[in-house]
Amino acid sequence: MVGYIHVILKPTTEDYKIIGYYLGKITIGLGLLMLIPLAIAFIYGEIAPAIDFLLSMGATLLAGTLLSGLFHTKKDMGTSHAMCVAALSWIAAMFVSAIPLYLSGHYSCFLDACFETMSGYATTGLTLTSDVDHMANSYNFWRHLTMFVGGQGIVVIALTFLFKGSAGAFRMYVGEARDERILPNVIETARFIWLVSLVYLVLGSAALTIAGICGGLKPAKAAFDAVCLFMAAFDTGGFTPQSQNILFYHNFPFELITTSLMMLGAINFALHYVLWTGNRREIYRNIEIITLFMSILVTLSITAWGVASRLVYPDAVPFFRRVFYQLFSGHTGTGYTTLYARQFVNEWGQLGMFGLTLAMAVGGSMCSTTGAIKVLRLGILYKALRQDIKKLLIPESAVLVQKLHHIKDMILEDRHVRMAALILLSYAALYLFGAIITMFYGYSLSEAAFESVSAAANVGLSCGVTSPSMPAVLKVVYMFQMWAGRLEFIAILTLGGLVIATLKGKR
Amino acid sequence: MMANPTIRHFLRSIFNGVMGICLEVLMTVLFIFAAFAVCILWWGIFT
Repeated sequence: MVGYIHVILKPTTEDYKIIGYYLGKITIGLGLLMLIPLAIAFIYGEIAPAIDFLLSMGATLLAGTLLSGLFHTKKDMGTSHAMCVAALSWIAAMFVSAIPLYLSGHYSCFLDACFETMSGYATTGLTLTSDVDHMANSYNFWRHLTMFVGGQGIVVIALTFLFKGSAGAFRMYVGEARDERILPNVIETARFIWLVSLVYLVLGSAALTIAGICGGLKPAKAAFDAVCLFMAAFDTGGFTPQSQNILFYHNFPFELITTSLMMLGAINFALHYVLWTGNRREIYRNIEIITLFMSILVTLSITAWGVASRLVYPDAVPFFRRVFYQLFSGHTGTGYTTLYARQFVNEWGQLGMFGLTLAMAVGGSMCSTTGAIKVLRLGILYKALRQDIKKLLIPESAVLVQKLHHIKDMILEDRHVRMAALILLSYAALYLFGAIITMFYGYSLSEAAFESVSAAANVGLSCGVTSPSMPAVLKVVYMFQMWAGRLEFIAILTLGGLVIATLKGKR
Repeated sequence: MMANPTIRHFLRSIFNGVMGICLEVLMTVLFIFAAFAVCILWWGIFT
């Protein structure tokens, strides 16, 4: 669990140098990442996109080199520096990655392109792309790659390829809402995260390609879509290469495979590790898995009740396929959908939307690719509540110890409960903030809550609010929600502290 | 013939990894069946 972080009260030149230097290194990494879509552009013979990627890569590498050159330092990061670098690296990633998308001409303004890349990196999946069906493959691949990179964590990538093991590296890793060290060394932890992802990349893409070919797609198209869909499903993102999302394929095997990938993405990487190293009993003992299972069944019951009562679907199988897929996609924070956006409002009704909104608000596991409150925190709060009720029923002098099992047996302590409650309250505030602003623009409470939770919990399901024509203020609010929701507040609060300290120092 | 310990360790790692993947997929299948039961229950109540 995260310890206390000391905000830099009086920032010195050295503090800015440390932040600038490491931010510069990450920016260089982002520039090098554009080599992948550049290669895709050459493979598909897309000349104009290749030029756009070359220009964007040049600008990004120049910015990164300038930052790391101007602020060169040999000092390692402290906790607060690492938090600020983690928070700022996501902003930097959003800006530089938006350049090729803006140049593509599929976005009406640079803000829309920034919205798209923040949605990608935060693995949200809300999109403002115009005419995505006719987008060049390299741009489309870039959109999905931002999801893969964001799901793994920009910092995890930097740790894998750019940094040597250091205390500062681990602090930066924590700043990206990953406070579980799976292996003793943080670099090895980052590499294990990559191993899991790459193994599933091969398996998942192969399965989707076969399903696509069997469903009538040409092999080349099936393979391209499979890789893109894998990146967005495993990293619980939600982008697709088509405007109609998963509905485009009308393919039941596709739905089953993407459901499996969403589930695998929503599992804690620490759980992947223990299962992959032979500790198979963990799967039914782990509090996260049990809570996730219960939470899905409860939210599914609410949603199914609401939708079934409206008699929208005439048969049981279409009913199951629609309700379960959207619910599971929402709960794991993916945002894949087999419905049109307005069907949620027009067909699902208030109770159906409420159940789905609740599922989105909960999210998946800690140290996974999902956002939102996360089931471990709910499990901790449930255990704390049970402990308090038991305390009322036993003699005052008796000592009650509440245990929980997450990878190893643990005793529930007050600091666990306080941290879980704090994060839950922070998310509730973030959801409320977005909902109020959305309602200000004339949307109903259910629509506003749905869209706000979808953005802040990094889900990506939309009931029709998100579109290129929505007000710029709403776009900025959702971008902030995606950023804050993905980083889980601590890094952002530390950065806010630095900004305030800097402003105070200048008075 | 006794296998080299390094090779044995490697093969055990591969086996554990494959079993881990199978278990994760099996868990998803169980999730789907449980969800199917819940959906059928609600659909049955209202139709």
